[in-house]
Amino acid sequence: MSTDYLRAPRGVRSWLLTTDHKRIGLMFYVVVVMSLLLGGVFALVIRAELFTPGPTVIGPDMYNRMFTLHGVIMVWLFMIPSIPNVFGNFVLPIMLGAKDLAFPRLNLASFYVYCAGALVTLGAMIAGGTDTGWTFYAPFSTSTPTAVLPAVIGVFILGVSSILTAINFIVTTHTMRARGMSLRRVPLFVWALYATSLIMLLATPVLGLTIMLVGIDHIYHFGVFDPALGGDPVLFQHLFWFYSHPAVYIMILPAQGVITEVVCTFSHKQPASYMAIAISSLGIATIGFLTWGHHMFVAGMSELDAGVFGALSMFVAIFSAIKVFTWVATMHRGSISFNTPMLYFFWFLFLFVFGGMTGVAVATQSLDVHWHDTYFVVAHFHFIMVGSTLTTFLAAAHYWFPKMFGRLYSERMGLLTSAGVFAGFFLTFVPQFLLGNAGMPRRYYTYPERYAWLNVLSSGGAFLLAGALVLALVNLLVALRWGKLASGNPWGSRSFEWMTPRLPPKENFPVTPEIRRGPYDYHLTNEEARERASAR
Amino acid sequence: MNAPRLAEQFEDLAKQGQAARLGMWLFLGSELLLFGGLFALYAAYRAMYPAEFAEAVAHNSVAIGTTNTLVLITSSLTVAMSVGAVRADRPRRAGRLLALSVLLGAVFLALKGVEYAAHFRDGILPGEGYRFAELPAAGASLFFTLYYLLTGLHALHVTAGMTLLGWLSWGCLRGRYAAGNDLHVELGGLYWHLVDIVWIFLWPLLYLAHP
Amino acid sequence: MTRAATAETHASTGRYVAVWAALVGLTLLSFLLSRAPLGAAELPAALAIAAAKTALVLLFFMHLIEQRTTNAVVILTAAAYVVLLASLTTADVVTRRTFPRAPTPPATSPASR
Repeated sequence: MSTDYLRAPRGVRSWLLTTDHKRIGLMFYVVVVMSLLLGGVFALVIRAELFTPGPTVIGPDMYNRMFTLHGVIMVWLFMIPSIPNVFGNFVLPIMLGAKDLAFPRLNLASFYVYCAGALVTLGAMIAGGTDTGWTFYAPFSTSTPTAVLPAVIGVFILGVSSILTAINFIVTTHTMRARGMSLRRVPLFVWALYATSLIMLLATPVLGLTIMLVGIDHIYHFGVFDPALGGDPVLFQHLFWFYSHPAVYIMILPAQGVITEVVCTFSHKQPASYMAIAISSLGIATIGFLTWGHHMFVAGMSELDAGVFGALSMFVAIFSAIKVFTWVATMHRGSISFNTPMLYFFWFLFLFVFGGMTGVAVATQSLDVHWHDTYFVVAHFHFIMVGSTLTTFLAAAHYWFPKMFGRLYSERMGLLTSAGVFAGFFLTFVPQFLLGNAGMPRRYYTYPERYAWLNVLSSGGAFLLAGALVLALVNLLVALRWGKLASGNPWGSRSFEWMTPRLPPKENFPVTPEIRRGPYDYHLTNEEARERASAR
Repeated sequence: MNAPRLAEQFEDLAKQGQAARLGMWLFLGSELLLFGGLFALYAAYRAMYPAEFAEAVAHNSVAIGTTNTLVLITSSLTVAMSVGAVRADRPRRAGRLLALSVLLGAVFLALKGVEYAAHFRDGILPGEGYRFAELPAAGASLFFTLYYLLTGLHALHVTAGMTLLGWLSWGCLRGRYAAGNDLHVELGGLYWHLVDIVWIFLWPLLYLAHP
Repeated sequence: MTRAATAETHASTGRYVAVWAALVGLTLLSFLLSRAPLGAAELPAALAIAAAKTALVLLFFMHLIEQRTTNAVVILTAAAYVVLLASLTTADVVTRRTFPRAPTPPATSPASR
């Protein structure tokens, strides 16, 4: 009789009404991947249109709706919830030695609220979508006669789901750690999720308010951002970016957490400096709130504010740099296993550093004047969102696959599809840096002939990326059914969550464990662990 | 007396209570940020139109505003006393105090209704409906638009709070809560106090101006 | 009902009423200060008193004074971020040199059209 979480309890109702964080993580897995594919379809439509300078497959108005929907779906239905709600949900309680999150029913609620938000957003899409871009800038967003209201209501609801998850993760980290697990003994993925949750909690309400101010204007013209009524559109941007800049850290912090776990496991080493990574996660969460104005250098903001935001923006990169050096130092003198998650880490390392450095570049006022609203910025943030976060989502998908499903995927196909993802990504987005620097603006339907060859490369790359991504997912789906059975710890990881049986039971631990060693010391014998603990 | 049920994932009731309390504070923190966006807009626009804002503030009825402040402060007192009553194992007294708090909330909303009605009569509507010829400047209409947004969002929270307190009052009167099982009342009370705190800041911003 | 329970009710009620009286007093003080010619100090004074009232409600009505520090940190952090948002946004408006502070030409409300 099996008691693993997949098989017991049985029945559709036991899934739909589950409070088991592992099952909720899987349910999120399904909807999040569906959102990724949908957002990806819109991306392919955009790139297909941009294959030629003139009209190719759609008209200009439809084109505006395509990039808006692509942005809205990718940001709020995929990027923000993906790693936290799929892998965070699954792994966080296990990593803390807990039986579940602090509020399991709230967790289920956050899933259904996500579904409701997704449905409303899709309803906006069916109602014709909107052409404002995912940034909903006023006063265009308050006056365009498109489906802005359902779109912002959908995003608002998705924000609520975010906040519920954040509350759950923060309370769980504070109150549900097993005995002996001090905050210095939690795995670094926990620190990443904690920092992410802080941002989700504090930033999302401001987004909610701001987009509702835009939405209600479609019912009655309050005109808070309407210059004709004395309003200032730049203030919309202040409120919007107060959320949306920290939001990009919501997108990258969990990925960084996954990377730390992957690097430690596949280097068979402890992190080079636990504190460096933990403190950097909190540092990014804090300083990330102080930099929003760097999206507004050319918007009409005051020179003083521009200077302040520009200077502060330089600091946030320091923490990411510390993490990069720590990951590389962790590999040093490690015994590296060349598995698919580790390959994804190598792509991540290159793309994240490149994307991060171009971020510092566009955060430099004098340079941003040239690059703002061009494809340079588009390339920069796709290097982070796709090249770093999506890459890491795939890394996590392969890394925790044996723990979630008790099977191994085909390593050869994993490595191959990973290389395909990287190649497709590279071909899609490197040309965009060149396009942007040469002056091609973003969100443009047509372009001069001389930009054509770079656009063709980029569009070709997009289809290659899409194909590789689909193959990567197919590889995992095939392994679900036909993969070789895995042991409880096929990677030989030293981390705590791998100490559970092959498929964890519903309550994770029949007896709450007592923790007597560091988070990456689970390969040691009891004597060795005791020695190390007393040496500290 | 019914004791609270220990949920499966918690070690003991103390942990469970701690978790619930922290969860509520986190939620209140998020509510503060929700209002925070509107407060930031108010601050920026007040800096943009200082004279018009001062004139518009002076037009608001400081009598109604101050009365409402005292009403909410008193309702916070009755809510705090109700929590004390449950802890002292007097749920029926708690239930009556909570009902009184709901009543005070209703008084608050009624006074706001009187205020809004007077504004509508004057032609003070938000946004594009503004017709108040006495204060024709855009800064004034913007002040009143923010006034409606701030007090409107606040009134929504007052209504939600009243519903919550009403439900808790009912629970107290039916003996669902008692000493050792007062967490729900405490948490509901926290929400009401936040509603009071937001008004504590709204009152000087919307009603107090040097005449 | 036990005598201990009655005593406990009276002790806590007394404390709550004292806090209420302080809140009413601070409200009165704020009102009186608003009538005084403080000029630019008017707004900071009003906000300072509001902050003091908030502290009373947080500490005593909401029992923060008896609870773990973590809970207080949550509220202080949230408040700090509200201040951050309001400050830098207002700083933008106030320090504009190249760009106009308010819409130009000056906007008129619908009442004056």
